[in-house]
Order: sequence, then C-alpha cells, then structure tokens
Amino acid sequence: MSKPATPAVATTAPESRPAPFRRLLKRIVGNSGTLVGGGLLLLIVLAALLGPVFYPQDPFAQDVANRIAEPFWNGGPAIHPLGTDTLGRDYLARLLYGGRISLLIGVLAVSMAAAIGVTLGLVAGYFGGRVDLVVRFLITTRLAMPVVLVALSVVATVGNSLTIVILVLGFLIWDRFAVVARTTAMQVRGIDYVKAARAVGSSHARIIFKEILPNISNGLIVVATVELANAILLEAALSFLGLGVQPPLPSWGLMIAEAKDYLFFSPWLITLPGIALVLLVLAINLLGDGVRDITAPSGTR
Amino acid sequence: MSAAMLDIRDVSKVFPISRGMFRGGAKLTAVGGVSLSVAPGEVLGIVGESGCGKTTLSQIMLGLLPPTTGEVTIDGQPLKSLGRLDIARRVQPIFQDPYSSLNPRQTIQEIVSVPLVVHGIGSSAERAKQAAAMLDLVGLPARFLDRLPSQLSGGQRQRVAIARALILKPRLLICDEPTSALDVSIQAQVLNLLADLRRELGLTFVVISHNLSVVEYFADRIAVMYLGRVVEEGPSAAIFANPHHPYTRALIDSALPIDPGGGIPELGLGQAFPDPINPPPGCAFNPRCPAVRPDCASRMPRLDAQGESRVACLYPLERGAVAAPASA
Repeated sequence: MSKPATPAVATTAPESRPAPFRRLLKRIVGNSGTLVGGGLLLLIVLAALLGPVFYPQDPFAQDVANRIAEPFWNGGPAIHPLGTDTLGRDYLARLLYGGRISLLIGVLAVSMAAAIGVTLGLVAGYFGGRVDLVVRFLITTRLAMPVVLVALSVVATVGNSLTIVILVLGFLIWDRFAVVARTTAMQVRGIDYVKAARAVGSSHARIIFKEILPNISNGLIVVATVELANAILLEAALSFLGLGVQPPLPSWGLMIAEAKDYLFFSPWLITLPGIALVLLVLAINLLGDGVRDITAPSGTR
Repeated sequence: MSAAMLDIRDVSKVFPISRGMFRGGAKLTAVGGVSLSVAPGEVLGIVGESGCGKTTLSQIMLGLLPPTTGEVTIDGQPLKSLGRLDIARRVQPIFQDPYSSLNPRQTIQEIVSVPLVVHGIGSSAERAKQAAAMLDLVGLPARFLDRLPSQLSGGQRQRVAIARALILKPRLLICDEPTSALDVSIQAQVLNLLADLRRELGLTFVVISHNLSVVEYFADRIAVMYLGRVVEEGPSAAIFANPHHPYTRALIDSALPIDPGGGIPELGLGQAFPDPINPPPGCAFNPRCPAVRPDCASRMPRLDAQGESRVACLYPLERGAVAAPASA
C-alpha cells in the first residue's frame, strides 16, 4: 500500500499536499522536545541493551579488595571507571544492567496495564449502559487503592520477585488507560463511520478493533509514555523500600537504597543511579509531550 | 402493494428519558405509528424539519434500532427474522456528512472493500478488483484507492460512501440527507449520480431530507413528517401541486424564492417546534397551524385518503387554497 507520490497525481489531486509520512517527519524535526527526548531514550535503551555485551565487567562479581573504589574523576582504578559499590561490584556494569531491569519492568508492566485498561475502556465506551457502569466501578475501586500499600501487602503475602513486581505494577496502573480509552471511544462511537460499519454488518469486535481503536490510538500512546515513566519510578520506589527487585539483581532504585548510608562519604554511589533515573524519566516524558504535540490536530506550527 | 420492497407498519420508537434520580423518567416518542411502503424501483422522499423523527425512522429501516412497536419488512422478509449480515445485504445507508462517514485511518480501498471482508466475499485480490470497479461506477479514478479520506474533497468522499454502500449489491438504499453537507455545485453531481445508479442498477431509494428541492427532483412519492408522524403522503407531483395539509403547504412556501428581492417568506408558523416529550393534545400541529379550528386541539386526525394522497388533517386544504387564518 504505497502512497501515490508521483507528480502527475499530485497535480490532478484537488488539494496536493506532501505525503503524510513526510509531513510527520517535518513535524518531528520541528519539535525539539521530541528530538531530545527520543534521542536520549534511544541512547539509554541502546546502552542498557548493548552495554553489558560490550562492557566486560560482571555486575555480580564481588571484588572485596576494591570495595567502594572511587570513580575515575577521583582517581580510582581504571578497571572500574565508575568505581565499585559496597561489595566491590563494578558500578558501571550494575548501572547498565539496572537499566535493563528498569526498562524491562517498565515496558512489561505498561503493556500489561495497557491491555487491561484499553480493553475495559473500549468495551465501556462502546457499549455504554450497564457495561459502562461496571467498568466505572472497577476504575473507581482501582483509584481508591494506594499503589504502595497494595504492593506492600502483596509482597508480604507472596514474597517478592521480578515477576511479582511486574504483575503488581501491571494490575495497578491501568486506570489512566481505561479512562482515556473510555472517553475517546464514547466520542468516536457516535460518528457516522461507526454507524456505517454496523450497517454493513460488522461484528462488535471488528468495529471496536478496526474502526474505533485506530482512531483513539494517539491519546493512548501519550498515556503509555506517561505510564512508562510512572512505572519505572514506582519500581524504583518499591525497590528502595525493599518491596521490589531482590538484592543480587541491580535495579536503580535498589542501588539508591543500598547507597543511602554512604551519602556523605561516597556521594557518587547514590548520585549516579539517581541521575540515570532522572534522565530516563525525563527522556520518556519529553517524548510523550512531543508525541502529544505532533499528533494533535493543530500540531503544525 | 403486496410486493413492496420496504414495508413499515405501525412503527413507533419511544426513548426513555432520564430526568435525574428523583423525578420519574419521561418518554419521548420519536416515531409514532408510521406506516409506509416503497415499491421496487421507487424513490420515497421523507421530508420534515429537524427533530421530526426522520433520522430515527431511517435507523429503524436499517435495522440499527429496534422499533418499540410495529414491524419492518424488506423484500417480504420481516427485519426481525433476518440476521445482521442478511439485513446488510439488502439495505445500505448513505449518510449526510461524508467527512464523518469515512474512517480517517483507512485508505479508500479498505473503506470500500470492508463490506466484502465482513461478509467473507472473495480473496483480497478479487476484493481489490471489485473496489476498483465500484470506484469506476461512482465516477472516481482507480488511483484514489491508495488515498486517505483527508486527501479527497467532499463530493469525492460522498462518492466513496456511495461505492461502499453499493459493493454488497443491496436493492434498497436509505439516504439520510445525502447532499446537505455538500456545496451546491457538488449537490447536483451527487444527485445525478444517484439518479444514474438508480436507472442502471434498478435501486429502490428512501431519501430523507429537509430540502424540498432535492426531494422534488428525486422522489416519486413523498411522505411529510411532523413530530414523529406522517401528516401527508402521496405522489410527488400531487403533493407539490396540491398540498392538503397546512404543514406541507408551509414547507413548500418556506422554500426561498429565486428572486433576491422577494424577501424571506412569512409562513405564519409563529411558534417554535413543540416539545416532543409533551406533544400538544389533538392534532400535534394545531399550535402552529394557520388554519386552526377549535376542535383541532381535542381530536387526533387519522391518515385518510384525500385525492391521490393520504392526509392527517381534520380540515384538509382544498385545491388552490391559500393557508390563511380561518375567520373564527
């Protein structure tokens, strides 16, 4: 399905515009927030994915002789560029590996939340009536539950692991997806092309997924970026409290927690994962804002 | 009328209206006891002002809304007994606004061939071929297939909507204000296209409009609706030449004169449209009727034969009569 971009067609077309893809590219380049956020996020993702492959140090190997080695700017050993932690594990390796954990938790939890929230919201917005009543009740119930308390009680009863953290987050952050999907689906439901689809005999599932979902995806993408940042921060918070990732695994939140006792004498231990976390969340938020601006109807500047 | 293409008998649609938690619900009768019949190949025009139930009636005829009472038969088959896909193969809609009736995220080819996908007709190559053939039928070049609706003008979009409606080869088309959202110059093109298609494919049409000239051009028979009821129904020529109901008369008189110095016609329909939740007693038109008589507010007129037409008026206008206030 290539776009007809030959000049002959363009001249005969009633309104000749640049191909949609080029228009989109122009908007992205014109939006500095998207460029900075997207670039930064790409950098972090590449570092997290490829870093451990190219950087030879093992994030779990303890070098007790070299505990709390200084980073290179304080004249530390060249073998550990960002120093080592309290057990002598290489800090750069742990940061890179921790990035993987953060992104993994964020992406999986948000995908799960999106699947739950978008399904509920679409069904509620499309069918309305009693279905909507039930979904609204579920949303309010979910909003009434404090995330950290629920996570605490879950971890207390079933113990904590990476899977549990992802599941807990996925089940706790779907509300915004549901709210946005529900309202936008309600707006789209009454438009004539949905009526036309019904008149043609389309099934409800086909209308929801082929007619409505593609038309509300812009808002959902923005929600996804907000929730991704949210999930990563929540994971860090849970790990900091000891409710998230278990100790041998490096997570940025856990690294901050482990380093808090050394704040005054070895500040880089807490600063480095903190900076990494801030940059990741900032990048995601900038990208999300950019996507919102670009896809808005008045996005051309 | 035994072989009617579309037959609706005593159809009503009542919507419950919620007025908050502590007041009882109200009922809005959008369509009340409408009986109409359309012969194969005929064009029935339905006219009336906004809020008179035209669109609700069209949704009922399409099977999108179940009627509260009454029965709709298409081609001799009760609509109730037909499945979703069976109804779709017999009757298709054309909507008013081609800017909202096409999914902005689908290409023209996807839009036109969706009905075939839903009905499981043909392979994807055959569907593409059929979509191209449909575009050709409605006078659009095949290169439009890869475009998005946003790249088309209003008239072109309406042609795409017509192509989508025709690809299942229905015999009945329900057009709800098919030209109201278009420029005047495009309106004529779309109407001519519909008239050509009618001739070539032997289609039956129900055309719903508030625009009398569209209906006059296109319809064989006309039904005039007021507050959910048919107040006059008959052959198009007879209705225009000799309206019997004062409301029909007022509608015809309300068409703006071509002479720009003629001013806006004064209809004598002082009041606004009545509240459909609390319809006036007796004849629903009596508060606005220029020829109202005392018992109009107490007796409900029935749709009775009057010349070539059927009229629901206690005191139908005679030939050539002017709708003047009765000297009471």
